[in-house]
Amino acid sequence: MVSPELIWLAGALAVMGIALLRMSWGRPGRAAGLNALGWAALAIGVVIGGAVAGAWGIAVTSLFAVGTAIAILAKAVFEHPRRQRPARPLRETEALNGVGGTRIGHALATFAIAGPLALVVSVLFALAARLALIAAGAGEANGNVAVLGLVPLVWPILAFVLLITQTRGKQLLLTSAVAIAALALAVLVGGF
Amino acid sequence: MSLGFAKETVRKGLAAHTALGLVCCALLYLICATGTAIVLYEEWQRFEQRDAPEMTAIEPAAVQRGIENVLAVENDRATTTHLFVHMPTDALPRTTITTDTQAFHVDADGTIVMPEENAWSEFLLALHYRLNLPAIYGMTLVGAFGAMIVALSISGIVAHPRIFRDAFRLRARRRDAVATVDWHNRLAVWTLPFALAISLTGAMIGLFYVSGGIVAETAYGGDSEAALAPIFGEEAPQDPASAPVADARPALAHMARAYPEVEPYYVILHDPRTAGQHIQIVGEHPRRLIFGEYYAYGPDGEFHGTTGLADGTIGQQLAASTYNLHFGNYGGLPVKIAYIAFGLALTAVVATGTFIWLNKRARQGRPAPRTRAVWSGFVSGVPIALVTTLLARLLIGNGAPFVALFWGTLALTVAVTLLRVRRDREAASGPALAPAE
Repeated sequence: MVSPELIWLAGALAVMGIALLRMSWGRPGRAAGLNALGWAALAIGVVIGGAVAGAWGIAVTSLFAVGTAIAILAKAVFEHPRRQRPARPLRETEALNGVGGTRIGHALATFAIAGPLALVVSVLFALAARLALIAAGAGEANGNVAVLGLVPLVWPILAFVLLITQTRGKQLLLTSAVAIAALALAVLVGGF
Repeated sequence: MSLGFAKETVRKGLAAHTALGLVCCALLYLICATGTAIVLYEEWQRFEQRDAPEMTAIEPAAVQRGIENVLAVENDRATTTHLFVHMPTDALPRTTITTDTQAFHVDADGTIVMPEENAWSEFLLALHYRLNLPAIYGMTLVGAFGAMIVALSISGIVAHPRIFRDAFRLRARRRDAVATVDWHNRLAVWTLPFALAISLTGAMIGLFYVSGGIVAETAYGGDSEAALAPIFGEEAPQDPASAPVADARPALAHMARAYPEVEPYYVILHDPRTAGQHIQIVGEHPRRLIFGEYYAYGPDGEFHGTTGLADGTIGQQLAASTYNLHFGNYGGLPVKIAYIAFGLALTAVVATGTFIWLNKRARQGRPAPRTRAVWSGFVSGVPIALVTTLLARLLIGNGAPFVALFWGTLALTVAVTLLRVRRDREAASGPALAPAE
């Protein structure tokens, strides 16, 4: 049994980890040692948090880390810039990144593929995962929750991959591939 | 430290990030702003009705008296199908009994004191949960936007190769586009774990009509309750024959005896005054993310068992943890304060994202003053409209038309900002003075 008071140690390690990373990343050159120490302190803090109180301990330890980082950033609000160079002019490649000058039909088609179509494919993927989990003996509860959890995770990942896929053909190929893989998995585990 | 994405991937990532951000910015900003405010849901309820009776605890006998008193008030209508007793907690030290049609605060003896009046808190919750739309459309829309925060987080990381190296580089005092970019990137990096946690849990809750509906449709013949039963338990069979009201006293006494570390915060009476009635107690487990465990009792307080949210399958524990992880209800006021700070940061990230795009356009010689005015009006309009509704609650009362006031004030703020820009432009390009003859 791990003492509940150790959550404070986990929090302190998280604070220390962020402080070490601040020191490391504030140096002009690469500081591999400090970097490793910072990440290690964070990782050990999270492990202790998890050992003390599972998901609750990890969540609280993460709040310590994020809170410290935000506090360090808040300090910068009161610091005067050493020298102020004007914002650099935009490079050609940054010219609105395809937004604004895009044809409306093209944009709508992209929206339909990355939005509703990707959502449907994500639902298929999640349903296949449910069938596979239940077939593997994970139980109905785990299977049903897998659908609830996978749809909001798979959809944005798929949407992002589709948005950075250049051609319409490749976008449709990708969505079809995921859908066919999901259906194949469902058939394989006897869902149909 | 930098992430090793190819230049072309970074460019595409930035394009995707920009496109997603522009499509989602307005509703995302509204959802983030209202989500930050609703962290204090219990505190807002206390603020709305400051004269409601408060207590740190209530005796089981008083709970039973309260149940019977409220049921007696409703003798003139069909008996409620469910009756909820909110037990006093640290965040909301009140005993409130809710039926299908109304809610009352009771005192420490179980005597009805006053009706519950928390319409503003409920309005705020509904605005965040479903944008004041019907639940099926509103929640699905909000859930979709939660998923888009995940997509924006991923594209944001891909689009910024030096995201970790520059994690503390904040040139906040520069009064130009660089400061806006720094604020956006730094706040986004450091709120990333928080953003992912609240967006995934929010999307899980919001997209339930899609994901839960499809599970019900494909595996349970369209029965949503049957799809949820393996996770949250199933309703006991009904028996409409009349019966004396169930007794919550032995159930609460059993909880105190058998589970002293668990804090009961809801007593739920299913189908009261029928032969099929039964009691459920929701108990909070300290140092857990789960919202609680269901403890089931018969009408005479005989213990039937738990559902398994605290110690059942991983899926059950995960599903039971989404609500608290999303709303920050798992560590008292310190965690709530952290959620408010990070929520404000996330709201600022959404607001600055669109300003970065507008600044870029201006630097390219293609300024968009009207779009900027609309966005400025929207960014300032949401908090102004929220404050307006809160003032209406204080001045007009529980029956104030919050939805109309909110959207009206928001539209007005945007319109005023647009008009000001138009007036400024007209003044700048006004007719030149004619030379004197």
